[in-house]
Amino acid sequence: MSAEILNASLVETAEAIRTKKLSSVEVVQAAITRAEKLQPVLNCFIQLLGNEALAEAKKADAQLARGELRGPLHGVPLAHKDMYYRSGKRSTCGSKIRKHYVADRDSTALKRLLDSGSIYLGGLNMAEFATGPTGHNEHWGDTHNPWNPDHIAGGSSSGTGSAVAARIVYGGLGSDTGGSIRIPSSVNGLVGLKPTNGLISRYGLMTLSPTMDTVGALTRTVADNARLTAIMAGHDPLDPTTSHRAVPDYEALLDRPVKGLRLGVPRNYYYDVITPEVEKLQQKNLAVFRDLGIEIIELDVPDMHLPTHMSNIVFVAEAVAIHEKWLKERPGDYQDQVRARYEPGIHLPAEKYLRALNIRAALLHGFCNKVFSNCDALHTPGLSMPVPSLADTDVAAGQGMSQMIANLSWTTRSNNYLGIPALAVPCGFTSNGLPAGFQLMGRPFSEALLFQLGHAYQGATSWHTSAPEMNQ
Amino acid sequence: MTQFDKDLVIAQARQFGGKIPSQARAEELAAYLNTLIGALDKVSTDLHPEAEPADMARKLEELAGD
Repeated sequence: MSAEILNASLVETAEAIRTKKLSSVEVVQAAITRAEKLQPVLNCFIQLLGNEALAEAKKADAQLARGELRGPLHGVPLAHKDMYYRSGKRSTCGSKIRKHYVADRDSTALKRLLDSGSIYLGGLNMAEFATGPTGHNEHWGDTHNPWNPDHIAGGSSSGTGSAVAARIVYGGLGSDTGGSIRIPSSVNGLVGLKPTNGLISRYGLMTLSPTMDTVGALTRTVADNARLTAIMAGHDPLDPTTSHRAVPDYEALLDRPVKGLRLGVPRNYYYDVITPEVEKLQQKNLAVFRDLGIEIIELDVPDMHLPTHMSNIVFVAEAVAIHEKWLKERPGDYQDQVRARYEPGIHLPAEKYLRALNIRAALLHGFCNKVFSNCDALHTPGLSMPVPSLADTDVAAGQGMSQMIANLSWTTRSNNYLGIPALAVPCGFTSNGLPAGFQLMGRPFSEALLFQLGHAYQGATSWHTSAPEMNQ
Repeated sequence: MTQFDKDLVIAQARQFGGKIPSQARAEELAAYLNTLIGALDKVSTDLHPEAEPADMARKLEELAGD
């Protein structure tokens, strides 16, 4: 029964609680039991707050008994990357330096999820300070992939990827500065949205790169992701960089017809480092889109090495600005790889950083003109290779670190500099038994279209219903 | 254009404080920085810089589409 409860989607479970087919206590207890069972294998939690969650679930059931529905997530347990602040509560950011940090404010994105009735099950493991695409963490232990615990759970939202794929929770927050939602989504067989910069508030979280940080959710289905995104999106007076645009009803728009839409497939850059096996899966999922009546258009994209390099300039400059004091005073409290990622920012002249920022809009304009004048959305691979093992990617700060990071984030990094949205969707398995995915990119604020396309794909396939064996 | 080499990297690291990179690491850092700055020079030559973050926010709204 417990496995059945947790195998359902977030939308289905919310409906079951709302209609009293299930109680929140039953669902939360199942999630706690699963989390306790799998934590020794996956290490996906930093803080599992079972008692607190059960108390909240009891309140949720009592409210529902009185006819009070808090919102579209009433009674549903979620868990989030351990960098979203709750006032008076600990938030480690996966680090030693912030092991005992107690937040003095509430994250707007998390608060909106809680105000919609969700239950906070705990803080999830992550790469230290949200830096790293693999899920290695010397301070809190590595996160493991539920499809094969010898393999990476991706990063930096490693715990969210692992916990959602393992059917412990129905979804959770990640953050994405260069692929940190989309990489764990791809390697764990999940849906993950890197939203348009400015769609979702970043107030109340540990920042890494204020220009490129984005907040988004990892879920098993596109419909689940649409629900969480709609709840979190929209202007926040506490984050003046958020857009004032009205937030569409993403769920209501999911079933719009896709026939006649044009999907662009890049001839250059995105397939440069792909392995034949992953490329074959991309061709197969493109065939699904073709069968749905979508026109597939091959096109040239701008040289994506350039915005990728620009994103690296912005990243290192901003990361060093945030970490300067600790890098000077506590350099030994960082993992070597994390400190090494920030190190170039110590040397980068300020005028280079500012120039990289000041040409950003022009590069976005050029990209959109070249790509989206020819198609409605761009389709690219997710990860370019089969999901690697933890051992193969344990390169610390030594030689090979830069190339390993570049290859893992090959298709993802430029989006954060350009500010455009991207949706990761699972599309099958490679011969090592681990998931593969693709990515849909669109114009700014085209999340409704990306959800529509991803939902149509999931309606025609069943990859998202596959569960890791450990959970069956 | 600033050209980095390992000596400049080590000198700057000493000034900054914290962990000082090895000679090999300093060489790697210098090469990486020169790559980034070379790319910046290449891509920005014909572009007119605009004031951020306002220009980017305006451009995102202007290019928005479903």
